[in-house]
Amino acid sequence: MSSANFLIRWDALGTGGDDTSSSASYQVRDTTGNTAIGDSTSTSYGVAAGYRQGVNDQVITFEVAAQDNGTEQAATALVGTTVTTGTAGLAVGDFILLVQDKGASQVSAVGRISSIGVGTITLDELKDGGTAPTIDGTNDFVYELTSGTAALGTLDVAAVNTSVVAFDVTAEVDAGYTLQAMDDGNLRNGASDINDVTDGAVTAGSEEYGGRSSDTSLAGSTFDTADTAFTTSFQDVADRSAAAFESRDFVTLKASMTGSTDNLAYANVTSFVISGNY
Amino acid sequence: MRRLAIAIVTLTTLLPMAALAFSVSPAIIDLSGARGAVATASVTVTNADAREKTYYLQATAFEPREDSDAPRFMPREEGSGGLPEWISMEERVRVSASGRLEVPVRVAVPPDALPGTHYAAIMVSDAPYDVVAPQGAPLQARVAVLLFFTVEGGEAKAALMDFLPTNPRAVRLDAAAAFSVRVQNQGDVVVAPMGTVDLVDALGRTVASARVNGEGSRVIPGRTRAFTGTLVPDAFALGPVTALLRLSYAPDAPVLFSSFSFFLIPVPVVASLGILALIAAILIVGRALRRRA
Repeated sequence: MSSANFLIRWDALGTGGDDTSSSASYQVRDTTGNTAIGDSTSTSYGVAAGYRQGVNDQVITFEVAAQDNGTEQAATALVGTTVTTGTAGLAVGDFILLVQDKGASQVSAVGRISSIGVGTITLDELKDGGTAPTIDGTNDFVYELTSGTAALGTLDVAAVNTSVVAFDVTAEVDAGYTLQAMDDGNLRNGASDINDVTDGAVTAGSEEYGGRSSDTSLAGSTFDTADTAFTTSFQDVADRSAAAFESRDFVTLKASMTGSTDNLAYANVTSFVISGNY
Repeated sequence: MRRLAIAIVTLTTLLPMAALAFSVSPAIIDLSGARGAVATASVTVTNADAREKTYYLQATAFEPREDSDAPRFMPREEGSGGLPEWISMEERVRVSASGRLEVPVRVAVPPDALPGTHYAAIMVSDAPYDVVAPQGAPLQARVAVLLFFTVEGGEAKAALMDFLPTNPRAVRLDAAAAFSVRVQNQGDVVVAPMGTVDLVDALGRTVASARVNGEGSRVIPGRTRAFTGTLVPDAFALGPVTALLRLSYAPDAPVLFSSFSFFLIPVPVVASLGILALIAAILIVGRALRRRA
């Protein structure tokens, strides 16, 4: 229907509805009173009946957050999704990283705080990288994922430094989404740089930099099975094949050095791009 | 000997202590127009931050991947031509705290544009694209809106490459067979083939069914894509059955048909026959033993 200045693309006779109903974790856009709604098909045609069938905003919400090393707290126990740790500065809704055995072989998981107790935080989930963390209080930590900086810190020949970059994605796209990453070159300072990992594992005593994804089934890259170098071409680091709500993944950045690595501050630019699958 | 080296991969130069969160819609835009015409659309950017933020928009090319629905983004190259060069929009917009902004996108089709579907991505980023890494260099977050623009005059044409069961078996114990459909786009217009698979028995009854590509995923010109599904049983069936595929991809194009067949012996039938055979064997053996006695 249209007039000189307005166009109504579609309408339905109903009995009510709202676009802004919400709770702490959900939002609903609803219409009541439509009859005989749903999908129907014949040999050559398909019908999507109902007012909401025409609403297809296809919103992608993308949150990227890095581990804030300044918020490191020891984690001493884990039962279900409840972590025993210091709660100072934490609030419900905070995006949290849990690390077991911090280092080259650390086991990580991310989630949001759903409640805070005395000396404990309970997360809404623990999204891990294929292995659930086991917390025994030795070299186990909790971090807030609030930083816009992923600092790998001061490297040491005897260790692999890590930093986690986490993602929280809501994609109203039926075919899901793909998250890709690229960098603008090696971690570098002038002519000096840190080499990309080439052997699938960033190892202490070798000059290497790479990342590993929590998504354990990637068709388009090796970030799911090995420490992989970021390049100047986009590579898949996470994907989903259906619409997703608060879908989480993370990439563990790893760096190591040799005794001959120049004593400098190295940096580069890394981009994460998310798109709906077509 | 311990050497000191500091490695920093920074997420943003401008807001170093903030996680990055924003929303963009729609994820995919389909537009069409004639040569020499101008088409318009819009991209909505929602700022989830409690502070006003600047977002940066840039059109860039992407190429499809074989048998995949994810784009492969290409480096931005000025003068490379194509749809990215036809797109104009504000490259830098400010969105209020917790606010939303609709950014107009204008596509000016050249008079000599090739007919058919052209594709590009509109990148929305919270940091400039030409940032150079200082100490503490930025790590950018971007949302890519895929734009499919069809210049009128193209042809929609698709071919069915194959329709096969995932696990080919002449005899099956259930109707829930998984299948694969491969479609090749042989025209110059993007298509979204959709259809149904019906499992029909010897009496003509539909005993199982499935939708093909209910999401409406696209096949780009010159590419082949596979769609998978699994038949959902609707009724009991025994004997020869045929899976019939009906696939349509364009309003004026012929429907694509294909089929495969197998013999269906449901598990309850097999179990019943087995029990009957066992009872019969017991009776026969028992009678033979009584006669001998």
